This record gives sequence, C-alpha cells and structure tokens, in this order.
Amino acid sequence: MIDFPSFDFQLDKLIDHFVKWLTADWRFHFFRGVSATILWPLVRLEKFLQWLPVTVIILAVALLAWWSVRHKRTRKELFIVLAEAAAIGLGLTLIGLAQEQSASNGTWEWAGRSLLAAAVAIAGGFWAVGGRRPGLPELAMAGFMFIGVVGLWDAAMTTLAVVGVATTIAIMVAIPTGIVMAKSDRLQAGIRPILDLLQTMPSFVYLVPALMLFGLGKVPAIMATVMYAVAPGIRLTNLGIRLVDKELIEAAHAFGTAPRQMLFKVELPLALPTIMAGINQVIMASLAMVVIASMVGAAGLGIEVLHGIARLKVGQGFNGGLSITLLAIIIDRVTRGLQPGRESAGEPA
Amino acid sequence: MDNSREIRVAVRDLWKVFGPDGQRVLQEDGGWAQSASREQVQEKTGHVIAIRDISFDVHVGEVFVVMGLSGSGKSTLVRCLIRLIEPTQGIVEIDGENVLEYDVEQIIELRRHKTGMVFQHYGLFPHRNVMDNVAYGLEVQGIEKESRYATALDVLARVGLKGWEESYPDELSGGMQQRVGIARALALDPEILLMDEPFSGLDPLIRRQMQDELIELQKQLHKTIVFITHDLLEALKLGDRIAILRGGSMVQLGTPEQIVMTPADDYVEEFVKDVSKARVMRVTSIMRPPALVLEHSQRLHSAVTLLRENNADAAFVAQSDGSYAGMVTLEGLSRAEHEGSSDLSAAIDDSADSVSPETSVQDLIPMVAGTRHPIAVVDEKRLLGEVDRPIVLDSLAESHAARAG
Repeated sequence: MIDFPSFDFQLDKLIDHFVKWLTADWRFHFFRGVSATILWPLVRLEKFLQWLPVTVIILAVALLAWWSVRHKRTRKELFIVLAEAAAIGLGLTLIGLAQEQSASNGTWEWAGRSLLAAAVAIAGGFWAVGGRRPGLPELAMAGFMFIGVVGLWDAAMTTLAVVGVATTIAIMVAIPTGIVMAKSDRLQAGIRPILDLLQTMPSFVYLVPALMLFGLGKVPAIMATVMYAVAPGIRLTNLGIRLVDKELIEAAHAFGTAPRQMLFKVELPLALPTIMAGINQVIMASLAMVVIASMVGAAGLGIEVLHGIARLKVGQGFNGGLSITLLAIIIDRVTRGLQPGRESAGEPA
Repeated sequence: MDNSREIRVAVRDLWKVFGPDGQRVLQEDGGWAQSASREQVQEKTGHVIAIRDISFDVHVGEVFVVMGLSGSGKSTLVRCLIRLIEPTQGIVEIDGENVLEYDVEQIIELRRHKTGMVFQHYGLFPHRNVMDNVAYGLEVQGIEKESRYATALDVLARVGLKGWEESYPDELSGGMQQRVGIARALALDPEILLMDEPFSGLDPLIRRQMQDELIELQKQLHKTIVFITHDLLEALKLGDRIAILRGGSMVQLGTPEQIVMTPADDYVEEFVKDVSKARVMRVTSIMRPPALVLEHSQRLHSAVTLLRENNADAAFVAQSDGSYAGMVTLEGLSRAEHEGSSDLSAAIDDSADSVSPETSVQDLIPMVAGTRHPIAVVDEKRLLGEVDRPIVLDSLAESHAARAG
C-alpha cells in the first residue's frame, strides 16, 4: 500500500497568515471599532429587555401571538388572551412582591399562585365549555412561563438580544444582496458557491477568526451567527424576486414602469411572502447558533447547555435546551403569522 | 379604401429574429436568411425568425386585427410596437415618430401616455385590489392618489365594475378580471389600445358578450385598437381591417369582406372555409339601384299608372330634397284611391323595412323572408338602392358555388 504522497501545499498556513495580517496594526483597531459599534446597540437592547417588567413582556408576547394567527384575530379571542395574560401578569407581580418583602406575606404569595391557576382555568374553561382549543397565545405564554420558572429569564433575554441584533444585521445584508443577485445571472453564479460554503462549513470554523478579529464575547458570536444565518435570507430574497411572474413584469413594463418602480411596486411586494420565509429562516438559523456562539463567551441560554455538557449536569442542559427550543417554536410561529398578505397566509400547522 | 385617413401606427419592413445575434443572421452572407425558410435558418444558425418583413398602417380610430395561429408571430408583433420585445430590423412609427430610435426614457413616456395594453392572461397584480390595479398606470406617472382614484372609478363604471374597487383579482371571474385589465388600459386614456388575445381565455358566452361590449365601448371612445386573436370569427366581428399572419409573414391584409370573399391563398382559404359568407357580405355589395322612385308630391292616380306601366307592385317615395320617405304598394295605393284621397302621402307605408348599407346579408335574410317587396337601402336618409329576396338568394347561391368550385 502506498500512502497519499505528501505535497508542499500549505493552504492552512496561508489562511493563518491572512488572519494574522488582518489582526495586525491599524486593522486590529478597525475590527475593534466594528466590535464596539455592534456592542453598543446589543448591550442596550439586552439591558432594556431585562429591565422590562416580566408582565409587560408576557403581555406583548401574548398580543403578538394573537395578532399573528390571522383567522383568529377576533375581538373575542383578544378578550380571552388579555384575560389570561392579565391573570398571569398580576399573579407573577404578587408573588414577586411577596418574595421581596420577606416570608411573612404568605397571603400574597397564595393569591398570586391562585391567579396563575386562574389563567390556566380560563383557557381550560373555554376549551371545556366553548370548545375553543388553546392556541399560539397560550403556547407563547406557557413557553415564557417555563423559561422563567426554571430560572432562565435573564439568560433568555440575553439570547433574544443577541438573536435580535444578529438577525437585524443578517437581514440588512441579505435583502440588498438578494436583490442584486436576482438582477444579474453573473452575480448569482458568483455568489451561489459562497452561500453553499457558508451553509455547509461547520459553524465552529467561523468562531476562531471571529474570535481573533473581534475578541471574546458577544460580538464574535454575532458575527459567526450572521455568517451562518445570512445565506438563507439571500437565497430566498433572490428566489422570491426571480419567481415573480414574467407576465406581470411585462404588464408593468407595458404601463411605463421605471426600474425603481419595478422593484418597489412590483417585484418586492410580490416576492414578500418568499422574503418573509427567508427572514424566518434567518431567525431560526440564528437561534440554532446560540449554543455554539456561547463557546466564545456569549452569555445566555447557550451557556446553560454548554455547562450542562461540560459539567455533566444533564438537568441544567435540558432546561437550557428546552428553553431554546420553546423560544424557537414561538418565534417561528409568530413570524410566520406576521407575513403580510390576505387570508390563507401563515396559519400555524 | 382608407388611404385618406390619418395614420397612427406605421410598421415598415419589420423583422424580429430570436437568438443571441439576430442582426448578424439577417445581414451576413448577403442576407441569405431573409429569403430562407424558418426551418433552414434555425438549423443553420440556431436563430428563429418570428417576424418576417411585415409592413402595414393602422389608421386613427381603426380596429386593426392581427390574426394567426400560435407561432405565427402575432403576439411578438404587438410587443414589438412598444418594444416589450426589441425588433431586429425595420421601422415602427407612432404618430410619425420612429419608436425604435427612442431612448429608455422616451419609451417609458410612450407607454405611460400613448398606449395601453390588455393581456391574454389579464396580467393583473395579485397584491393590489381592483382600484389600485386600474390606477397603476397613473400611479407610475406620479399622479396623486385622489385624482388617480377618481379616474379609476370613472373607468370602472364604464366597464361595468362599479362597486368592485376593493376586491382582489383572485376574487373575480375571468370575464371580470379582463374588464379590470381593459379598465387599467383605458385609465391612461391612451390613443392606442393594444389587445393581445384579450378574450381567448374566456368561455364562449362571456367571450361574445365581451366582444359586444368592446364594440359598444369603441363607439364611444374611438380609440385606435390593435387586436390580436387566433379566432377568425372574432377577427371578422371586430376588425375594420384584418392582417393574417402565418409563420411570421403577413399573408393577407384586408377588410373582413375581402378576406372571406377573396382569400389571398390556400392558407387563408382554408381558414375562411367554414365561415358563413352571409355574415361578412354587406348589403352594399349586393344591392341594385332602385327600380322606381316616386316624388312625394306626385298625384295618387299618376303613381298607380306609373306602377302598372312598370309592372311593379311597390315603389319607393322620396321627398323633394331627395331624402327617403317610405314605400308605397299597389294595394295601398288602390285602397287610398278607394277611400277618396288624391294625395300620395296618404298611401305611404313609413313602417316598411329599410336597411343600412353596412348591414350583413345574414341579418337581411329574415327581413326579405318576411316580405315580397323590395327593401330600401338607406344611408343617412339617402336612398342608395334596393334589395329583395331573389338578390339575396342569388348572392348566397353564388358564394356557395364559389366555395364548392
């Protein structure tokens, strides 16, 4: 047997040198500047989410969920959802106050727990009597309740902030890139393999250069997340625009549509469902990176899973993992439902 | 026949060759491709000749129908007029300006103000409601909302879609969608309407109804219409003139009557074979001069004598200024005479049928079947001629014989 002969081809060294070059001199400061720019909104968003009273967040989540299920966007539904959210919010507030004020306030704690039970009773009552099955709003509230009950509320807010910023950056890159790609077959041919590379490359690989360029913490995590999540956004924007009916494009031309008008009045509106599906994919991909990103020091739910693995704390890992899953399911369903359009769109399966 | 009328669209020596370098294919090797067949050109160069050396004029206010089967190039031709497809060679003049020399801005202006197009599959925007679809052309012109909605409402009422403004295209039937399509084109108040098989996708009853409505609409609007169809009956019904395309070439250009009565070649002949000639033949081409015309002021008695002398049992009556007044019959005359009047006017039957010279022979048949007297052919009160049962039967027999032979 002859082993594969050795060649003096050192691509790895080359890339090492390149990254080293990137991190030297003024370039180092450039990347640190970028890092600071990203960190600024990130920190504020995280602080804001953690500062917001739990009640407000539960209420907001419940309303978003109500709004996103189009065929259930009725006044009656709104009333039920508000009642549930109010019971939960008030219950959590009472329990919180009782715990802050010392153990002597057993009555408050008891009242708070009863209110939480009342929320469940409302949902159950409408189910038993009116045949109204609990839906996305109930799922969303239950999910956030679970995250809070297992003690991961602040971690979840941190994760939401990281995902939020990463998704925003990815969308800001993806949509314009997708548009220019749709306009030029050449660009499409050039960008496609890069997207393939981004999506198939094991995501750990992004962490090292991101770490070297942006230092430890959330920014490299965000950069690695963006690299991974941007591809489906670009792909689906490109696809959406390319799939716009050629007859409609022709009709638009026949009425004297200028190029800009074509984009904003015809192509983007018609591609919107596909683009929204792309944005949904971007968010899902960002959430999928949460655990990996925590390895470079992004706090949040990912750390729980990482610690669970590293310290053999199965329970902690499970809590963290389930919380991420719940967040993913809720965000997925809600963003799918928020797609514009008429009827039939975005009904959770 | 319409040479004196103003020309709105003039097409000269128009060619369209699909493929990477159509211009080269037409020019190279002494232009062999220009006289070669489609198949030869495709085999040798990979290019397809879609439009081959077509020239015609469309007059102001005319309905110009381009008819052909699929692959005849008719849809390509109408798209070449406003450069939705770039012609390879030739001239397209609209109101005297060569559109092929326009830059992008000018083309957009042309499409915004001079032409409106209606598509076979409607081409309505699914994300816009009926109102915003109809107002689309005005919107891209930058006209503000209030004024473009007012125009859209007007046009929608005109096509019978009042009250449907808020609906979306997918909530409408095919016929209604095409009304929206027509309204969208009309909203621009264009001089020229380009209609690419607008009624082909509709079921036959709706199609006929839409054709009738288009005819009504055209009576009010007097647009210049270029109408594409694969349906000969539709072409005959709507067209002032018809151009027949085959394999990218124009094989005949003429009025419906010319096309049916004197087909230019076997291809057209095959097409019109099943068309009832009576439907396209006009009264004007079979009528004869009136045999006997009486003066309105004539005495009753002398009229009777005149009829007897001429061995006729009916005659037309004209006013002193020559305008048509009605018909008298021998029976009527003798009855009036019997009743003691001496004036011709007492015997005039002004309820007797008269027809316009543009009436089709088809429509004439039931009229001649109902009377044994001749029928007056009258145009704007002037008596042009007469037709009777034998003439109609003769003309039908002739066209039948011509077809059999």
